[in-house]
Amino acid sequence: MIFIGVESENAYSKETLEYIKWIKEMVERLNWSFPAENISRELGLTGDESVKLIELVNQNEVRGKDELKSLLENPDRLNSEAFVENNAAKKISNAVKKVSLERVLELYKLPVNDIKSVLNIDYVRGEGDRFVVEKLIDPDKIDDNSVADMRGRVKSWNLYDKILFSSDDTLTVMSIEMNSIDINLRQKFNIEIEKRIKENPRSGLNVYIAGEPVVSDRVSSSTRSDLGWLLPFVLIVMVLILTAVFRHYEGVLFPMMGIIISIIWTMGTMVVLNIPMSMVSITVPTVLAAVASAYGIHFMTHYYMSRENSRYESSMESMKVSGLAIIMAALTTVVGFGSLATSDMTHIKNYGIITAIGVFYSLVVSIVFIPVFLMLRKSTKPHLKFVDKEYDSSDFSSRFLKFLRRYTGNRPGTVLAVSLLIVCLSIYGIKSIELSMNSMDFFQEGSDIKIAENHLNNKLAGTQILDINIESIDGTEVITPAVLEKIENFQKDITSKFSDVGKTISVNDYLKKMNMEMNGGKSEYNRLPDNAAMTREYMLLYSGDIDGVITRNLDKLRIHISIKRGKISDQMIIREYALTYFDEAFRSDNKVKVESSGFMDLIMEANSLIVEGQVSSLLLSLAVVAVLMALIFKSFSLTLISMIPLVVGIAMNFGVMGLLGIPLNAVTSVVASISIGMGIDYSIHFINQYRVSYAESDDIDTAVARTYEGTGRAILSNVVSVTAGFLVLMFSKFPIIQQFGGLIAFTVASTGFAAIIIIPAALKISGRPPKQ
Amino acid sequence: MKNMVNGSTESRKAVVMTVTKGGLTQALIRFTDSSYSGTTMLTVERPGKDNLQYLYLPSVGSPRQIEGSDRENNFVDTDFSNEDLGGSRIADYNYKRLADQKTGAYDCYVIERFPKNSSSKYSRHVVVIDKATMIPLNIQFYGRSGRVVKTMRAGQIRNIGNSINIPMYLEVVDIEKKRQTTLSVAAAEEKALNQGYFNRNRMSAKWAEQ
Repeated sequence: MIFIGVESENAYSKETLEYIKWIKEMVERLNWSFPAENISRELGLTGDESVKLIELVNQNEVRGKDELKSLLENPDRLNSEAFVENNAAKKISNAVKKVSLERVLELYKLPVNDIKSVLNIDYVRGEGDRFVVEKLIDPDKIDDNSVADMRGRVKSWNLYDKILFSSDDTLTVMSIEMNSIDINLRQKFNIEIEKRIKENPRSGLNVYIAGEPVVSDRVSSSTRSDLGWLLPFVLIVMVLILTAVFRHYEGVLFPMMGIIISIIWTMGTMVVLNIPMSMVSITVPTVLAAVASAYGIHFMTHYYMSRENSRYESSMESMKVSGLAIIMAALTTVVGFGSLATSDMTHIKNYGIITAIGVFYSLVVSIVFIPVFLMLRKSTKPHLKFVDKEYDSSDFSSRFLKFLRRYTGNRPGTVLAVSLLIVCLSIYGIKSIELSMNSMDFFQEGSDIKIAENHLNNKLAGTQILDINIESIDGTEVITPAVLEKIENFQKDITSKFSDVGKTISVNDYLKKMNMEMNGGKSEYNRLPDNAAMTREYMLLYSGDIDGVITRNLDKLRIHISIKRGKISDQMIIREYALTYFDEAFRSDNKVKVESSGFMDLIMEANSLIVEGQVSSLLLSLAVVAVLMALIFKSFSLTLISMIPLVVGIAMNFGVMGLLGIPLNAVTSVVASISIGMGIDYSIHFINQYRVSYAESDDIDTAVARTYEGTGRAILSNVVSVTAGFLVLMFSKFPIIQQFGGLIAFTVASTGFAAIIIIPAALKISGRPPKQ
Repeated sequence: MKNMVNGSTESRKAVVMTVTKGGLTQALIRFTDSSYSGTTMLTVERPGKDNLQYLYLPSVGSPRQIEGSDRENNFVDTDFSNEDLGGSRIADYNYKRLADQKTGAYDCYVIERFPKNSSSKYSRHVVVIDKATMIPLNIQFYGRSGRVVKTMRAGQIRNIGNSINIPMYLEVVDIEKKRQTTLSVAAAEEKALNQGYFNRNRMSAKWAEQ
């Protein structure tokens, strides 16, 4: 439900109603022209052809999908049966074949199901033996008198209060019920409505647009503005880091080219696969920049460290030393992101898939393009200082690595004990993690949408809609006195128990009003009809629009609950209360089933899916990564050791979330899975080089020392570049992206440091040489 | 009545009586089975004014004059609108004649009519009328979106006496709500009626025809 609130000093005014009428007509026109425009654009048809195609679907959809498909895909039939001119018939059938009938049917849908406003809401009144169902006001006769009449009517029936008008008379709201359409189309539609309203302001009238679709869609649309500058920002950061690491333009230029190529390929793939930009996928370029930089860093480090002088030989050697590690590191990262494909939430799933593809591109680019770029150069290979002075030099990273080597070598037990302590503390923190998917968390204070949501939630019953449906199991009527009585008590109880429940509406509200109007408007008749027969006949008498609360054959009732926007966990309590209120005994006595539905219900479902998805994708990526490690290292103990930094890093991630009060939501829940894929890279690089060094030296201490000298520096640079890349996200306008970036940066950094601190200690303690 | 999504159906029997005096029709419809048994509706056509409609509900005990602002609203819980069942007025539309066509065995006029009322649910109707009996055989209702939202078909036209022709079969499909209502006439005859039935105060009376 989209809510458009129009506020002024007096909402019962001609000006307000005229504006509501203008908005309604604008939305209607947009609604009607929208499918043809999209079909025309997406199928490459002219306006007339799209209109014709819509007409064909419209006239033939009752005949079933198969029949529709065979008609639309056959130009001869289109011509002979539907009188479509030959060329157009060919064009239409080709276009339908190309995009598939399913897509055409998706584009064919009207975005809006229903628009409710003061202009088309029913009013019921009795007058002697007359029973009248009419509109609150005739939209063609809006004048001071009719508006005053209307105000009287609105005030006479509590049903409208906080649903149609605010209690203080300053706000009236139009609600637009959307059909379930492709999220991209819905977003486009919502943006257009907002744009047109903004372009046509009325003096003295403020407009507030809110409601779940607007919020979720705004999330995705305003993220685009973030993309505009976060990407250049992260690229600049990468240039700075590469400069600091290599201090040579080749070390900056080639990895940067790799980064840019993989980002372009990935964005192109998104377009080809028709994956929309969402709150999460907005981070794809930044994530790729960070990840791809790591592969470049490893390759370039080993390239420069090669003792060979020719570019070709050095590239070959670098490939030998780091190639396998880079490939495995990339594959595990692909697994980490790929595990999100198991998510039931489309945005997360898409994000996982596209990033996994992007990481794969980065891998290809890093191990194919970078060596090629290097070899294409005619000049001799530059000799970099850090290669000479590496170990005994006085630069910070060398000193730091030297310190780590000594410490972990001398006190491996302490290192492991401290790690264990950190894990325990983190587990303690995990307990206080809160599960929350309030989309409003996505917005900063003072943003339009937050102001509108707050305002509408304050003045009205609430923008969150939860429906409770009571449906007969055997298709009989559900309007028995027992059921209606229970609903009556439920409406009273839930409203008094939860302050967030702003309003409930059920068929009872209509029945009571009718009973009163049928009995001369006397307030003592403001109660439910005396028996089922009367109830049934009242429903017959009611000729207005009542489909929202009861089906016409009276076998299904719906209770609308308007809830103020708040924490999802609180709303889940409300839903739980509602569902258990209609207990087993009630259900079996009355032969009904009771279920919840509505947009809120979807959000709550999504919320539970987060936890399930979190656990399953976490386990999946851990398992796959462990198998990969076992395959590479062919050693149980090395596999185990390689996984320790991951466990520490992930535990710290959740621990920090608990301690800082960062909620687990759609975005923060993917941090762990992603971190596994990236975090294991450090273990791979470290252990891979350790095995090579051990083979040469046959001594654990020497092997560890050489590993620090060789890959330690690359890992450190890698940790810095990835962390910095994700930290860039903290400059996003959106709190949730900031949390995402911050958490990944923290987790990746923890895992990276854990790898170069814990792995040597663990190797020392295990004391066993690696198998060859 | 049929829900076209889940296939559930519901049926109901009714007796309909109509008289025409001076070109104006009065009609009575009474449900004779199901929980609606006894529910009776009286429609009285008036020159130049909206029809008067009374609904007698057994449990309420006295008839109520019902006034819907909208003739396009459905007749009780069917998919027929009040208009479909004879409540339509010539003056409510602008007309345009389209080319004649043959529908099955029937030679037909085709007209397009446009509601004058701006708050109508429909932008236009395309009506196919049997030339011989002047009974509409097919009506396509175009919503304001320009799409067909409802169709009505009539068939099996029978002559039951003095130039009285009625379709024995009427079907309305609500395309948006995916519901269908079929009206099948089991028997129809022309006969002398007790005109006292057509009185709002006698709507509860038992009919000989029941």
